[in-house]
Amino acid sequence: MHTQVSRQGEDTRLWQLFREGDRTAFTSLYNAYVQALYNYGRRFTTDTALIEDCIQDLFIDLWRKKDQLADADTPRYYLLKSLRNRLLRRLNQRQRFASSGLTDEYDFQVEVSYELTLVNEQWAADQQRLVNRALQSLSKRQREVIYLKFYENFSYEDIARIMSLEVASAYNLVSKALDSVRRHLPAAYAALLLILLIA
Amino acid sequence: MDYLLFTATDFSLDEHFQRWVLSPDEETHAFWDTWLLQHPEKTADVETARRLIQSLRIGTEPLSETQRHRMHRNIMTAVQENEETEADVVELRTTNAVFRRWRVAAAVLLGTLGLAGTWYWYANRPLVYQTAYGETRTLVLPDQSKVVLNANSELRVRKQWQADAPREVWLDGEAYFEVTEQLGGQAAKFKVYTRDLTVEVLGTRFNVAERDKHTDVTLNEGKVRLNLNTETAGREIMMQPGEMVRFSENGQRVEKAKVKAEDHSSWTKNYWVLDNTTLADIAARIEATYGYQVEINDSELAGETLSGVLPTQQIDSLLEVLAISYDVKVRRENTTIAITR
Repeated sequence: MHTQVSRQGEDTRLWQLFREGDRTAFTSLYNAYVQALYNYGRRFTTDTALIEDCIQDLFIDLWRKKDQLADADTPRYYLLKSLRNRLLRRLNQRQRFASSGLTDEYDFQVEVSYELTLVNEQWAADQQRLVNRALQSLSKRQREVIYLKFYENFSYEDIARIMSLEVASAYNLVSKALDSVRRHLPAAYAALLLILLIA
Repeated sequence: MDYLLFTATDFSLDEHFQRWVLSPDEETHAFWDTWLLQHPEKTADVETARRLIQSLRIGTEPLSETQRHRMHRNIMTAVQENEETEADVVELRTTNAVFRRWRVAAAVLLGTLGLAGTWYWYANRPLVYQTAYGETRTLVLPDQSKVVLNANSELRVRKQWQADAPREVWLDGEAYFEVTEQLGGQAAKFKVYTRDLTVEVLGTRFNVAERDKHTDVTLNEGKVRLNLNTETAGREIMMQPGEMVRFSENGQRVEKAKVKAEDHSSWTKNYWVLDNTTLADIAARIEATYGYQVEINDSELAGETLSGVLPTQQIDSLLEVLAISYDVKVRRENTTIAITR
């Protein structure tokens, strides 16, 4: 898990410099975000070439349009939203050729993975299976908000902006997803999980 | 934020709490460590919430160095080319800061005039306040008490307020009150008369909601006394902050429960809080607030319970949030709303 809070000041400074045409700052932004972008992209598709393509286009356009970018825009949410739009557009184009033109058809896959310590290896593997089964039972939108909330640690407001939803929808989706996950987890397992995660 | 009333689910949804679990810093640590020391009875809920969040450790695969470099090279090549072709394009960037500032000033001025205008209008009107479907209104009474009137409701107020008489208002529908404290004599009392009961208060904040089959009074702050309009007249109930009293008309039944009072008046801030609320209840509330007829033909769906929030300022966003959050189909036609799976 990342700690984004401490990054914020640094990001704002890099963003400012990049908008003034500083290529070193541009490269720093790339380095800081390419992994997060790739991770996010991988949730939508296994086609890594397509993801790379979209990330490249995203940064090229970013440079081209640097004069028009807003001051207050925080790069993290802006970049993820932009990648999402690009990727869904490309995936949709493909889909249209394959079947009918549904705009809201996309996939979003997440899986949890725990560090398997020697003491609890078997148990952790079981636990992992349970949580993954729970995640599998969620809708794609629920999986996506879970990812943005608990992996990327975005605020409800940013999640709403990235996914083009109302803030209330983002909040409700997280609430409902957590509820389902919780129902899939037996209480006894939950108690052990704590020991594992602290160890 | 009253964390004392939080359940495990509430904690896991709270952003400050999430920050403490996922990327703790000095501030979140200081706050939650201290808070837990002061409220050891909440340890179990906090632990459940913490474990739930931590169980969601999503796995990702690292980008290879080759991929990272390949993309970077392609990007920088394109940037270089772009730079060369655009070298002679003149940059046109105007800053409208001055205009923007004037616009803000104008807006503030208009807002102030608007408020003054609204006040003047209220002061010279016969004192029957009504709201249409989908509308809420904030009123300031002669004693400076504040009333927020919910949609499809009516509040009647005497035109002249006597200096030494109880302050009295009559309500049909739902309203939230912030009553000013008045010292001494009869004027210290503030009374709200409704179909089912009378709420009598000193200075306080509370919500009164007349529904089809019951009336709910929720107390946020202060103290109130309820006088029920039962056959055995004069029955009184004292309420403490955080309590809700539900009076059912037909059965003459009275229930008292501990609730999150702020949730019951959240409509004054343009949202509803759902807490295991059935879809049927939400439908009834939409009918009462916006005047649509809501149809749920699937009885199982009608009984499904939802938790979360719904924005109430516009019916369209409310319906959109409902549809997206709970995976239902919502269709609005003229005066009817149909909810299906």
